Amino acid sequence: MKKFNLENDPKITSGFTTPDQYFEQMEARIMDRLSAPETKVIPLWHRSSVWMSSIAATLLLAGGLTIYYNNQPIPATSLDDATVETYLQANVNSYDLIQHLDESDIQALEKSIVLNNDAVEAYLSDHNNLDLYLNE
Amino acid sequence: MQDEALFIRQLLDPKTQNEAFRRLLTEYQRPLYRHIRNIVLDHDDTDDVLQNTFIKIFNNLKHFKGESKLFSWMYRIATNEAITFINQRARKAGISNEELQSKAVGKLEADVNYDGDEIQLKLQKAVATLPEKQQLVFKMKYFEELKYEEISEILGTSVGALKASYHHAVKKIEEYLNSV
Repeated sequence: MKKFNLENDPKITSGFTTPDQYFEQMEARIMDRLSAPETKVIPLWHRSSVWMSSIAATLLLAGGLTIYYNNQPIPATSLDDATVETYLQANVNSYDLIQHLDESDIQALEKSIVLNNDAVEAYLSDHNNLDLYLNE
Repeated sequence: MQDEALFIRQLLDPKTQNEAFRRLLTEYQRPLYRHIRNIVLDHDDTDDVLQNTFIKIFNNLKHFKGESKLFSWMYRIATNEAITFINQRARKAGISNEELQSKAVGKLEADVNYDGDEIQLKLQKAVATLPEKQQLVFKMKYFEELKYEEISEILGTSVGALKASYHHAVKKIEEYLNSV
């Protein structure tokens, strides 16, 4: 059987295809997403009935919650740090995180994270694709 | 593309922005699709990643400093988006990125947006056995036919290291293809 030689044999293409009209539609979809107007706030609060029922609901809720909490032990349902961290790692990428950091956050991080040469070197040796991010 | 500095000014000017971005989409959607598809393999996943890539490009244009070419800056965003996507998928499934890629290649035969023959499929399987960085370099050089200098600017890796990486990748792929 003939031996494969990628440099000299005819090119083997990837074999990927796209649905018909995909690129024409993609362009339109992205332009639509970019030009979508911001959601308007519906002017609901000028209606007096809404105000009245809101006040009534708030009073009822406040009273109900007071009675409820006076009779119940507070359940320990708050999220622990590990759960929040796992969620963020799985669902938020670095770009999204960067969007929410300002100068003071960075300074706070620099103070709270102790980085020395050994730690940096150990991290780099464990993460072989880091050079992708060096130009960021 | 026309003079890049002028084009970037048009992209940042609210009066010309939409038209300029439409031209950018027309010019780059196919190469960036190809780049992302080679990494994530599935068409629907590629579609998601590509849309996010263009939205990020649009939102971050004001931060583009012109230190690299617009072309390589966009490719870098697309690469990071695609790799982040794979990392998240692998983490959710509790498997390594390489295992995830092997599974994705296994699904190609049944994919309506894949018409590769036996040799093309064999090549995809061979590529999936490589370490992640070698896969990336091989795909960009062999399938996308980018120049080493372009890949170097996108990945921030020296041309020498890229050539070594590609050479190793080709050797391993040929060994795989000739052994099965």
